[in-house]
Amino acid sequence: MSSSTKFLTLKTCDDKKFVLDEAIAVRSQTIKNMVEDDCVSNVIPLPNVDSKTMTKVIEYWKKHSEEGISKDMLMDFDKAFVKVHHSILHALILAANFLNDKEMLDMMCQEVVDRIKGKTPEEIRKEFDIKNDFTPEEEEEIRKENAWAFE
Amino acid sequence: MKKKKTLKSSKSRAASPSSIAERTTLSKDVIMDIFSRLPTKSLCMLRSVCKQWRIIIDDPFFKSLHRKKSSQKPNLLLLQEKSYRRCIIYGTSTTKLTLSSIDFEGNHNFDFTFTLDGYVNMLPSKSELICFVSTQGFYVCNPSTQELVKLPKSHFCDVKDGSAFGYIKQRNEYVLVNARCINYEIGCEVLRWTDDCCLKDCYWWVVSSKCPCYLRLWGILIENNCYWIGYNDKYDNTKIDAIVSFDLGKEEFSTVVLPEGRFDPAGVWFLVELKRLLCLVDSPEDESSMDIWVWKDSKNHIWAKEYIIDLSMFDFGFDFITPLDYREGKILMDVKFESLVWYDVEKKCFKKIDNLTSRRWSWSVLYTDGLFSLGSRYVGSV
Repeated sequence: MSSSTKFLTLKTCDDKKFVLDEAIAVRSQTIKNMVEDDCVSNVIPLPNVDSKTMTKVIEYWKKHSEEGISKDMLMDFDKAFVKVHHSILHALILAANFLNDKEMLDMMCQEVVDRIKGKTPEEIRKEFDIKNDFTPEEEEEIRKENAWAFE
Repeated sequence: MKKKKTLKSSKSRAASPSSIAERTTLSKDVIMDIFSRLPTKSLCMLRSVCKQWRIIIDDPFFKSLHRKKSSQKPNLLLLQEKSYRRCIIYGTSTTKLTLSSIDFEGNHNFDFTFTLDGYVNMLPSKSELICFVSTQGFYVCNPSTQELVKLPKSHFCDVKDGSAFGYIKQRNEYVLVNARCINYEIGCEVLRWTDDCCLKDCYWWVVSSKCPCYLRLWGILIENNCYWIGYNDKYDNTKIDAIVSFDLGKEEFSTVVLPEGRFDPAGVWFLVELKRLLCLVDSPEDESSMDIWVWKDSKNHIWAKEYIIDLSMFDFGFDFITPLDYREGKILMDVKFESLVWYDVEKKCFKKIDNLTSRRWSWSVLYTDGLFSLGSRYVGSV
C-alpha cells in the first residue's frame, strides 16, 4: 500500500460508519462521481443502504479488488456470495442499484433470473414471499391465456 | 403453525430500522432488468404470479426492452416436418408443420406443431414474427408465445413468389408486401400492424406504383425498403435482370443497379441481409465458391465483393449453402439443411455447430424471442 492511499468514510442509513480505501470504494459509480465532482466532505452518507447490506457489499468489493486473485477463485466466491435469503438478495440489488455498481447488479439480477427459471408461479411466490393478489377467476383467466407456457 | 411463526418473525424484523431489506420491494426498473433476461415462455408464466408483475410484463416499454435484449442473441427455427394433405372429396388441403427452436449453440428450446390450410411456404424475417404464405392466404405466428393468426384476405394470393415480410423498428410495426402478377400486370398491396393490435381489423392497402418486372422468391426488408431479384422473361426466372426495390415510405418501385464484373449467369444467386445491408450472393453453377456482394452505398450505387468463400470442401448435389446471419466476424450458414456452420471471415475457415440435436430440416429461419402480441389472446384485461 502506498503512502498516498486515501480513505473515505461511508455512513449507512442506520448511522454506522465504514472506513474504506478510496480505490475500492470507487467501484461504486455513485461514489466515484462524488469524488470526481469534489462533493466529498468528511463522510459520504448512503441513505438507501443499511449496515448489514453494506458489510456484504464491502466484502464483495474487497474480494474483487484483491491482487492476483484467479478467475476461478472469483467465480467460486461469487457463487457462494449470491447464496443468500431472497430478502438479503433484494437488499443487495437495491444497494448495487443505488451505488451504481453495474458488475455487481448484473450478477445479482442474474441470480434472481436463475431462481425464477423453471419454477411454477406458486413456487415463485413462495421463494420471494409474494402475495397472490388475483381472484381465483382472474388467475384462471390468465392461466388460460398462457396455457402453453405451463406445459 | 410453522408458517405463522415465520410471518410473525419477519414482521418483527421489518419493524426494526436496521433492516430495510424486509420492507423494500425492488424498483420497477430493476424488475424490468431482471425480467428482460428471461425467455418469453417464462414471462408468460410469470404474468400469473401477481398483478404488479403482470402489469410490468404487459408494459410496452418493457416489451421493447426485452426485444432489444433478445435481439442480441437470436434463435433459429428449423422446419422439421411439412406434410401436405389434400382431401379429394371436399377439395380442401392442409399442411402440417413442425418447427423446432434452437439457439446459436445448437441447444433445443422447444417444438411447435400446427396445421394451416393450403400449401404453405415460410418467409424469413429475423424478428419476433414468422410469416407463412399459403394457397389459402397469409398466416403470421409468434413462435415464442405460440400465437398463430390468419391475416385478413388479400386481394390476390397464391404461393408464387413476390412477398416480403419484416419488422420496422422505428415504428414497432410489421409489414407484409404482396406483389403478384395478375393479367400481365404486377399489382402490389401492403399490410401493416403494430404490437397488440387486432389483426382482423387491419386491411391491405393497394399501391398504385407498378412493379417493373417479375419477382423471384421472397423479398428482403431492410430499413424501409424491400428488395427482390427481378426477371423480365415470364417463362424463365433463372436469369437475373435487376434487383427491384420498393420504398415503403414513398410506396414506389424502382431498380437497383447490379454490381459490375459479376458472376456466372448460369449460377446460383439470391439476396440476403447481413449487417443490415443488402447482399447479393452469387455462386457458379458447380457451387465451388460463393461471392457475397455488399451494397455499401445505396446513394452512389456502390457494391463491394466483400466475401469470397471457398466451398470446395462441401459436396452439394442439389442442395445449397445459405448465409443466415453475421455476428462478430463470423457468418452463420445453413449447409444442405442438415448442418449449421460458422464461417470465420478473417481466418477463412468453417466451424460446425457440433451439439446440434436436430435431424435434417427442410428450411431454417432466424427469429428473436419476444412478446409481440397478435391480439388474439388477451381479450379482456384483468
